[in-house]
Amino acid sequence: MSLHGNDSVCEENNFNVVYKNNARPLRNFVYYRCGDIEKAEDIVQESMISLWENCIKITFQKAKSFLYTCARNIIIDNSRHEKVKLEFIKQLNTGFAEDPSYTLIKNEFEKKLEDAISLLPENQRETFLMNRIDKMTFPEIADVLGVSVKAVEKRMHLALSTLKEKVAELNYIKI
Amino acid sequence: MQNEENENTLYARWLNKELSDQEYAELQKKGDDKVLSKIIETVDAWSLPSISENHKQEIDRRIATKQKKKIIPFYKQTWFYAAASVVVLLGIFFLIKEDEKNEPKLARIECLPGSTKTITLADNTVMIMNGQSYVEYDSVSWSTNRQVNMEGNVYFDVRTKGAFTVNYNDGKVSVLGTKFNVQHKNRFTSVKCFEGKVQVELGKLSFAINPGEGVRSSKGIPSKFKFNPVNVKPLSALTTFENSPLEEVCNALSIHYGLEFKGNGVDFSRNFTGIYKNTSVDTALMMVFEPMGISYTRKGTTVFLENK
Repeated sequence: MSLHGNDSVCEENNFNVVYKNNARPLRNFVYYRCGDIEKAEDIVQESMISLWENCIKITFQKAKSFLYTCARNIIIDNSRHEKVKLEFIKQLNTGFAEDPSYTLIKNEFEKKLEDAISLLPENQRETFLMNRIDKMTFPEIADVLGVSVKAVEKRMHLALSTLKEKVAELNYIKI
Repeated sequence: MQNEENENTLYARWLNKELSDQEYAELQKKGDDKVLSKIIETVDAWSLPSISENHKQEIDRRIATKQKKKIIPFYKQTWFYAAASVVVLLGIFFLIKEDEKNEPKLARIECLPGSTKTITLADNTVMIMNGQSYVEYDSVSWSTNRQVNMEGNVYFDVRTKGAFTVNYNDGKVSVLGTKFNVQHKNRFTSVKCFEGKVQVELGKLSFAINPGEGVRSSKGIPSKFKFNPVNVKPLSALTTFENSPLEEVCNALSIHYGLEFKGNGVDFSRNFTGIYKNTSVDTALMMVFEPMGISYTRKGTTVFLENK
């Protein structure tokens, strides 16, 4: 990740690289928990400033997990039991013959899936989305959440299992 | 147990394409793989908006603000001064405390041969020291205990009323607001009063002297004398004597210049009227002994006197 001779996060270059690599997935992670994009971005800012304030103690390699821990603590302080309602940018239908019923079913499916994800237990929800949206590998997720890879796999399995049942009633095969 | 573990992570391993053929076949049979694929395919097409444009600038700005605060050196911060003041005040407090606890510590001021020193005390009392002299006084409780121990030649100007005592080896001078001079060394004492009234104790004898009067004591034998306070100015560039025995003059010279006199047949009771310079030892010796018809030889701090 870094080729810098000096691995101190106090170095402006290193600090900027940490931001560039982590800001968006970190913002998303906070969003999966709190369901508020703006608040998530604020928390990322807080975490980055906290990182800078503690930069002497934190090496470049440790910066990522520091940021996630920091963000997690801020969320816990802020909004513990708020129900979240997540929304994602869906891909527009492109090219293919636009069958109105097809679009309808697809939209319904996506809506159903979105709701089901929002209703997942917090740790399953964030694990599933970090893996699918942010393309983080299981070991990466395990690292930032401070849990074992096995635990991540279990959460992933449970998430998929719940989602599968929730959408099973829909006639998804046709889409 | 192993099965259960595997069951727990089945879909996760399916996602990572880590299923055994058997597991995969079972999944296909149930049709689960299609549903799962659909979920993954759908969610994978989703995204979240990019981070807002000024997000990073805002971080940099806030850090810059903090950094300004952060790089203010410790000693420039207000609370540093507050802390330092407290430390200094505590220090002074304990110093004073310490002084009060112990025997009163005397301030000792010494003056070197050939020089003068002027000391003004808290009550505006002025002490002008001349030559090889010293004074000691209790600087802490000075206002209630105005006592000075001295030797040498010191002029006192007591400005404030109240008890004021000058102690020397074999006597003391008590005053009530006055100007006076005390010369004391080697059992020779001379007290001159310039203003006010002075009570001089020499051994068991006590003398009250008025302005223009003095008491001198040589080897325990005291005598009163008169002088003109206008002519005899205390401790300036010149030292003035009016009908003073040579013993007193030599004593004053020895105090001022740190000298030792050895006279061979010289009569030290002869009176001297005149002045000598306070800034040059040889000029001073000349000014005293030439008019008296006494030849002198100085070797270091010892002066040998002889009648011409």
